[in-house]
Amino acid sequence: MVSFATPWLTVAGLACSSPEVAVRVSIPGADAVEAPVPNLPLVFLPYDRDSIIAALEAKAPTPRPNAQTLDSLFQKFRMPFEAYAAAEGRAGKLRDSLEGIKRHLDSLPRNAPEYKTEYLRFSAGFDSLKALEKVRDQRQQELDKARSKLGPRIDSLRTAMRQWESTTYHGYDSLTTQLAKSRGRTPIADTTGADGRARVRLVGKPWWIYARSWDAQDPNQEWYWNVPVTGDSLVLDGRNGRRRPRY
Amino acid sequence: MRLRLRSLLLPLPLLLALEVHAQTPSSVPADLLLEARSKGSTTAPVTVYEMSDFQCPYCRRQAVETFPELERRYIATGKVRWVFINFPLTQIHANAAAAAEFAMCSAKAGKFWPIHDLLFKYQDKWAPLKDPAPFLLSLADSAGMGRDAVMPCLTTGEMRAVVRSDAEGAARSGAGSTPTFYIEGGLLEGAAPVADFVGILDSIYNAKVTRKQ
Repeated sequence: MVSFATPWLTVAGLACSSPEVAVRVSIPGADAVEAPVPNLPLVFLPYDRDSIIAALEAKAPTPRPNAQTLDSLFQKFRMPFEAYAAAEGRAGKLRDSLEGIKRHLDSLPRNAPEYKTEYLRFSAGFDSLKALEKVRDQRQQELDKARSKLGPRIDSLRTAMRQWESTTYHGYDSLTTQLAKSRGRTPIADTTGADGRARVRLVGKPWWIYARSWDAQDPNQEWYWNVPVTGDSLVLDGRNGRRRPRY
Repeated sequence: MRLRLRSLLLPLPLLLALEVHAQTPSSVPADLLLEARSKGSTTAPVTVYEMSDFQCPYCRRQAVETFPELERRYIATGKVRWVFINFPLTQIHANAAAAAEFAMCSAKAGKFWPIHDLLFKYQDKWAPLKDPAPFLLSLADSAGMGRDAVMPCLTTGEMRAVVRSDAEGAARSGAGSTPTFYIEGGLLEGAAPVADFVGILDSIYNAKVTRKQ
């Protein structure tokens, strides 16, 4: 191993750099409030993957399997899922609030006048939490029931859909490898940080950013982005992404 | 300037070997093309790959102020072989790719280094031009090769793929800015002064020569 004897030096501004592209990802959470998406894989592609997929679909020997039944099964599953998610959300919020009260109680002397008031608050909240958890457990049972009833049918339709996709998109990898090579650039992968942000240095153009994220509001859907990179900052959110079924 | 030693996705020499062989037009042997933009003995113990952009002012500083001294101390004495790799930053330098392609067509005509020097010397003249082609062609005259020596190559665009694969190899080796130097497994970023190169090159040269003895 060769080592450089010169100490590490940093002198700013002695190099030319391509501008960094700053990306922020933000989507509605389970409570419909927009929140940053941490640890989300992002892929920068030197080609438009949607147009390649569309071209491959146009050449497919058979039409895409009808998704109507699958969509309706997804819809049936969504209702118990949403009921469970809402019940768990309410219980979680109250649990967090009770933990705050408990920490406060622990910091107070038992004979402090405030202790009794806080204790009564905690006690009432604890009873409410028990009631909410009971509802949550009921919703979970209903969700499990729906899963075992609808799951096998969903899985079988999904398998047919995946088989079609596997045949239709067979040439995707070799096509995109050739495209990347002809453009002299290979895909670049990155991941958002805890704040839902990432910074990437891209050489040349054009680039597209491709990302997929779970939809916190629907277990059978996902957020999908395939957005051309223009400028030095980009927000991936509900305006330029689309929800699509997770077949 | 930033100096870093790190594991690269693939070592630059290997990337270049793969890329240049894959992209070189059949009329020009890949080794010859690499040789045409190299300086120094092929048996020199140390090889430096300079990833550079003809339109980058810091690359100009490197080429005009630092490189002549390095050439005298290390290349002429057989200690170092220097290889030029195109890394045009097209997002910020509109004419960088055209200049790199012109330099590579000059390399095919055996005039890479005179054109390299002229491109950096007159960087402020051609860099702001909307169409740099006429000015670049005038440099062919200045280098004594005449326009006819480069026109067929420029017309067919045969060096475009070589420049692109150079840039891709540079990016994949870990370079994110210009100039960046790949020196025996380490990356040196930025236009470093001669003294910094001296420390690095002497250290590597001595380590390699001592190991051989």
